[in-house]
Formats: sequence, C-alpha cells, structure tokens
Amino acid sequence: MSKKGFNLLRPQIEPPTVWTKVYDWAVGSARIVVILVELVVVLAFAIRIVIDVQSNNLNEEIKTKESIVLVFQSSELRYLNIQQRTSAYRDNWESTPVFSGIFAEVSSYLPPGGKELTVLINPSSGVFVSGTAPVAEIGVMEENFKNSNTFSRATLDSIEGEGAVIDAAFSLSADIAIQENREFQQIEQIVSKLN
Amino acid sequence: MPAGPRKTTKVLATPQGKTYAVLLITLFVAVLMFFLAIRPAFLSITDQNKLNDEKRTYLKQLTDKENALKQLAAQEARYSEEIALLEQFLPDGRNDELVIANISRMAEASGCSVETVSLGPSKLPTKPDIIHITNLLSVEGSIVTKCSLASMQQLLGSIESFPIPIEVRSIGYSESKVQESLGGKDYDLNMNITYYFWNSL
Repeated sequence: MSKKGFNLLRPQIEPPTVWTKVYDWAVGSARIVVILVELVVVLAFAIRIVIDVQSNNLNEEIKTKESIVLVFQSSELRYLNIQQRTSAYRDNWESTPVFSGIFAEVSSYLPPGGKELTVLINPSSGVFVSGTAPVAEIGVMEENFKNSNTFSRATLDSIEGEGAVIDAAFSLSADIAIQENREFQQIEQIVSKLN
Repeated sequence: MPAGPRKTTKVLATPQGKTYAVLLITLFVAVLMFFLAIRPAFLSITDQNKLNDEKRTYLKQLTDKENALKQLAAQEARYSEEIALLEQFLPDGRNDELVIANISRMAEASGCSVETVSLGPSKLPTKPDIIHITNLLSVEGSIVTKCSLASMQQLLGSIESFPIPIEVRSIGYSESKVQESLGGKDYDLNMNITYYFWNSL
C-alpha cells in the first residue's frame, strides 16, 4: 500500500528564461504562422503548375494557328481587293443615273414639225429644248412637260414670232423631278445572260 | 552587458498576462511572411493568369481570322466565275481602247456613227456615293455621234446596260445639218460620259 502525501505549499515553478519564452513562442504561435504560410505557398505552387501547363498549351495552339493564318496571308490581300472592288462596283452602279427613260420622254414631246431642234439633258441643270416649231405644237409640248411627273417647273422661256406666223422660235426649260438610278438587279440579269 | 540584448531580455521578460510583445512579434512575422512568401506567390499566379487571358484573347482572334479566311476561300471558289466577270467589268488600270471599242460597237449596232471620242485625264471620282473609294478612278470624256432619235435611244439603252460602268452625265442633241438617213431626221448627239476603272495600289 502506497502512501499518499500532501503538499499544501504552492508549487514553485522556476521563472521562464528568455530562451524558454523564445522556445514556447517558436513552437506555438510561430509554428502556426509558418505552417499556414507553407500551406499557402504549396497551394500557390500547385496552382502555378496548372497555369503554366495552360500557358504552354496556349503557346502551342497559338503557334499552330499562326502558321495556318500565315498560309492564308497572301490570299487575304486578294480577298480584301475583291471585297473592295465588288463594293465599289455596286456603289458606283447604283449611284449612276439612268437617262434613257428621260430621253425617250423628252423625244416623244418634241414637236413633230420642229426645225433646228436642240435638246440638252443634264440631271443638275434639267432639260432645255429650243428650236422652231408651229405654235400649236409648242403649246402641246409645253402642256406635256407640265403634265409629266418626271419634270417640274416646266417654263416656256421664250417664244418669238411676228404677225400671224405659224412657226415660232422657242426655248423651254424644265427641272428633272424624278431621276432614277441604275439597279443592281440589272447586273444579275446581265451576268445570267452571259452565263 | 550590451544595451541591445538587455533590451530584448526586458521585452521577452514581460510578466504573465501581458503578452503584447509576443503578439506584436507574431504579427510582425505574419506580415513578413505575407510580403516575402504569400504575396509573391499570389502575384506570380495572377500575372501568369493575366498573360494566359491575353493569350486566350489572341488565340480567339486568330481562330476567328482563320474561320473567316476559310470562309472567304470557300466563297472565292464558289464565286470564281463572278469574280472573273468583276475583273472584266471593272478592269484594273485605265483601258481607253477597251471603252472606245465597246462604245463604237454599241453605236454601230444601234445604227449610229461615231464621229469623235475624247477622253480626259484620270482623276478621283466626284460622286458622293463613291468618293471614299480611293482605288476607283474616273475618266471623263465626250462622244459625238450622228443618228436618228430611235438609234440614239437604243445607244443610250446599250450604254446603260453595259456591264463596264460608263456613266452618261449629260446629253445634248441637235438636228444635223447634213441629213443622211432616208427615214427620219439625223441628229448630232453629244454625250458627256465618265467611265471608271480600278486602280490597284
């Protein structure tokens, strides 16, 4: 049977030395900090490896694509030229005025008994007709120009004749109200005819 | 005893319950670790990630370009006939002979006789719709022909439906002093024209 002893005295602990405190700190708080930092660094290292692998793969893909695009480089200029040329052709075609309709209409209005007739047709300055014709025919021509939707502000600028003359010298001017441009569909028709 | 170690001893000898010094040192070490280890590791990842994002953007651009070029190549093959026609319709380089020959042929087919054709120097077009196209050049000129009104109408129609873009800017006609045709009157027709050509740089 063992004896149990009592010690009522307060245990006397040796006061910690500086090195004991440093040791306690190093194996306590500092250890947690270092472990956490190491964990973070290891994790970062793993992530960095993944990112580096991705980077290498991207480099390879870029290299492959660049070589493909390089093959097409000479063709690219040709494509660009064709695109610009097509666009230029279409824009030019569609902005070109059509004269034959106006010409046909003006010609149909000319007095049949007219002499020394002169006709000028210009989209910006309009239509100008001059010559000599029987007065009645000049009147009909004037009416036709005034009643036409193609022309506006038709004016008989001058009419000259003496006494009871049948023929009179005249000049007439009118603005072109409706100026039609070419349509690109025309080209499709032309191409289909060529084919 | 030197002053330095004595001071450290004093700091570390903080009585129990007053661990400010330990706390401060721990915080200092933590901050030091952050700046010396964690931050560089983080920056190295974010920088590389940023670079990868740039590479992905570039790769996407390259892929888009590759797809577009492949599509264009397919279109070029599909529309090769139309492209060949375009090259004929909008010839590369000024070709007065081609234009004059075609106008003469159209005039002949319409029953008109071409008297004179004059063409000016090449210049940039003035039409607002095409003024921005620097490769397109225009040549202004005039054609004097002699024919009846019906033939004139036919000639105008031929020029307007001719695939080489010849634009009639204005028309002036007057009765010809010398009447040659048997049926109808002959007129002297003066057309101011502009034709266009492509100028590859």
